[in-house]
Amino acid sequence: MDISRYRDLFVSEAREHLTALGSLSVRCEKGETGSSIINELFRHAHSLKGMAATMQLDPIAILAHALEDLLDKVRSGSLTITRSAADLMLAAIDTLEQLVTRVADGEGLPDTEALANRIRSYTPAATDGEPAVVRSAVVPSAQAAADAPRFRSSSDTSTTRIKTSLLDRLVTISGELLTVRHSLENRATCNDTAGMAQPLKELSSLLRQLQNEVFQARMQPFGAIAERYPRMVRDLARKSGKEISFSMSGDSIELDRGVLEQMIEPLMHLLRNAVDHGLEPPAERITAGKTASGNLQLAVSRQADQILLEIRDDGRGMDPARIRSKAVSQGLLTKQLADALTLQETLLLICTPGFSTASGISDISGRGVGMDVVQSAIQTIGGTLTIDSLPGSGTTITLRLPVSVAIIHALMVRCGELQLAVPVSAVTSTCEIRHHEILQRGRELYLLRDGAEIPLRNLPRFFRQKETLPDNGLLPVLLTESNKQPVGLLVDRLLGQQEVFVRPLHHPLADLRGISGSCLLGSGQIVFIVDPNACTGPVIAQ
Amino acid sequence: MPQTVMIVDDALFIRTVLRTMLEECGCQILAEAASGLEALRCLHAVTPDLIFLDIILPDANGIDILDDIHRRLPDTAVIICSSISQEQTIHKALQHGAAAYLHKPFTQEAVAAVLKQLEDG
Repeated sequence: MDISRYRDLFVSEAREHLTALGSLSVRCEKGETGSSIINELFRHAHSLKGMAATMQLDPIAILAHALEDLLDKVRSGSLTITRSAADLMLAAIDTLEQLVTRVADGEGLPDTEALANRIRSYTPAATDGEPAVVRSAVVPSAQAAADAPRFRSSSDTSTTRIKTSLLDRLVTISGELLTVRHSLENRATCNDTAGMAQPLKELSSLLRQLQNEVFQARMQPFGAIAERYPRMVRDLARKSGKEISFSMSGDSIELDRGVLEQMIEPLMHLLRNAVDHGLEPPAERITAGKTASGNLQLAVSRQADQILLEIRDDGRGMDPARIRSKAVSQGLLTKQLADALTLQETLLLICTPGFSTASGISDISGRGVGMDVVQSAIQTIGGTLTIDSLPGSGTTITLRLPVSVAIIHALMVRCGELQLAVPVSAVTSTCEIRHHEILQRGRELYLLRDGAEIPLRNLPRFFRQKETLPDNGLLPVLLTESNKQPVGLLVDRLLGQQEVFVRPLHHPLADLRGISGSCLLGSGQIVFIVDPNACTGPVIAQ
Repeated sequence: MPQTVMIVDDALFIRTVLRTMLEECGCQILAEAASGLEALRCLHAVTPDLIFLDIILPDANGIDILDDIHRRLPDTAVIICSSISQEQTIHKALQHGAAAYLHKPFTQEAVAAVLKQLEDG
C-alpha cells in the first residue's frame, strides 16, 4: 500500500496537534501544570509520533518521541516545566512544524537526532544557564513570503470535518432536488407552464435549505485559528524583552471558514504591532505609572450579522501629531489637508501604503507587510477596520467582519450605464434627497441633514459614468459609514434588493478601485460588487 | 462473510489508514470512534466482530474500557493497537482479554497477520 497518498491528511492533522502542543506549552510555562494539561500534551506528542511512524517519517517520529518522553518525566513528577524546559519544548514544536511543512511541500527531511538528544538528556541544572530561547535547527524552506506585501493564504484549514448527520441531510436534499427536476421536466415536455409554479416553489425552498446546510458546514469557531496566538505573543514578548499578559475571549463564536482563513495573518500582524510598537518595556511602563506587565487582549464578539474582533493594548498609544507630520514629510498629503483631518482619519493614515513610523527596522515587525495590507485584507472580505487610540493609554483596533462572505444581500443600484451591487450590510439607510439639500464646497459635496453636514460621494462620477439626473429631481442616496462617520453615496437609481453569490475577482480586475467582487444575475449579466469603504475612503485617497 | 470492524483511535489519520488496510483484507468497517465515550456509544448501534482499540484516548485509557466492551459484547474480539511497546502494558492488555496486540506503526502485512492469527484462533 502506498502510504504517501495520506500525506495531506497527515499534514492537516499533524498541524492540529502541533498548534495544540504550542498553546498548551505556553499555558504550562505560565504555571498551569495540572495533570490534565500534562496528559493532554503527552497525548498530542504521542499521537503525532504514531502518525509520523506510520508515514515512515522518522525524523518527525524521533523528535515527537523525545518530546513524549520528556512529558512522561513531567507526568511522573521527576521533572518540572521551567522556563528552559518550555523553551526546549517550543523549539522542538517549531522544528516539528517546519518538518511538517517540508512534508507538505514534498521535500526531504533533515536529521533530528541532535535536537532529540538534547531533549532526552535535558536536566534543568544543565541548561538553565543557556540563552532563554533556543530556536530550532531547521531553516524554514519558504521565507520569501515575508518580503511580499501581501498575505499568503493559509492552508491550515484546507480540510474540514462535518457531522455525518449533516451529510445525510445534504443527501436527502439532493434526492428531493432530483424529484423536483423530474417534475419540472415532465411539465416542460407537456408545455404546462402553469403547472411549473408548484415545483418551482419547491425548488426555491430546497435551494434555501441546501444553502443553509452548506453554510452551517462552513462555520467554524474562532478558537480554530486562535490557538496559535498565545504562543506567538509569548515568543515576541520574550524576544523584545517585554512582559505581556495576553488574554483572548469569544473563541466559541462561529465564522465562515473563508473569513477565518483570511484573518489568520492580519491578526498576527496586528498583535505583532501591539507587542512591538504599542506596549512599552517594563521600565518605561513603571515610569509612566503603569504595571510592569502590559495587557494585550483579543476579544471576539457578535453584533447582529457582524463579527467584531478587537485588539486592545494598554501601551503608549498613538500620537496623532506625529502621524500627521510623518505623513506630510513622506509626501502622502499636504499639510493643509493633514490639519483638516479628524482624529479618526488621522489614525487611519497608518493604513496608507508606504506609511511607517517605526524609527528603525526591527526584527519583529519592521519587515514584511504593513497596515495597508492588513486593511486591504479586511476590506477584501467586506470588513472594516477602525482605530481608537489615546496617547499614554493604549490602542484598540476594531475589525468588523461579515459572518459569511459567499452569499450576501445586495442592494442593486444604477450608476450611469453600470448596474452595481452594494452589500446591504454596509448600508445604514437609504433616502431620497433634493438638489437644494446638497452643499458644494470646492470639489467636495455634503448632504445637509438635521443640521449636520454629511460628506457625499458621487458614485457615478467615481466610476467615471455619465451622470443622468432623474426627472422628478429626487436623488437616491445610500448612507454608509466610514470610520464611524456617516457618508452618503449618491447613485442614479435604486433597483431593489437581491441575494447574490459573490465571486472573487482576479488579476487584472482585482485591482479595480472601489470594487470587491462580482456576481452573476439570473439573466446572465455580470454585476460588480461595490466596496463602499474604498469609495468613501479618507480624503487623501481621492 | 466479511468480518465487521469498529476502529477506535483519536487520530483521523490512523483511522483512515487502518480502514483502508482492513478493507483491503476484506473487512467491512461498521463504525469509527475518536474517544472512549464515542466508542461505547457506538456499541449501542453496532455489533462488530472485531474492535481495533487505541490505548491513549482523549478521555480514557483503552485498556480500562476493555472490560466495558467485553461486558457488552462478549463475542467481539478486541485488538489493542498502540505504539506503546512496554512488556507490562501488553501483558495488562492481554490480561484484560485483548485478543491481539497490533504495534504502531503497522503495515498492511502486520494487519493481515493479526487477522489471520484471530481466524486461526
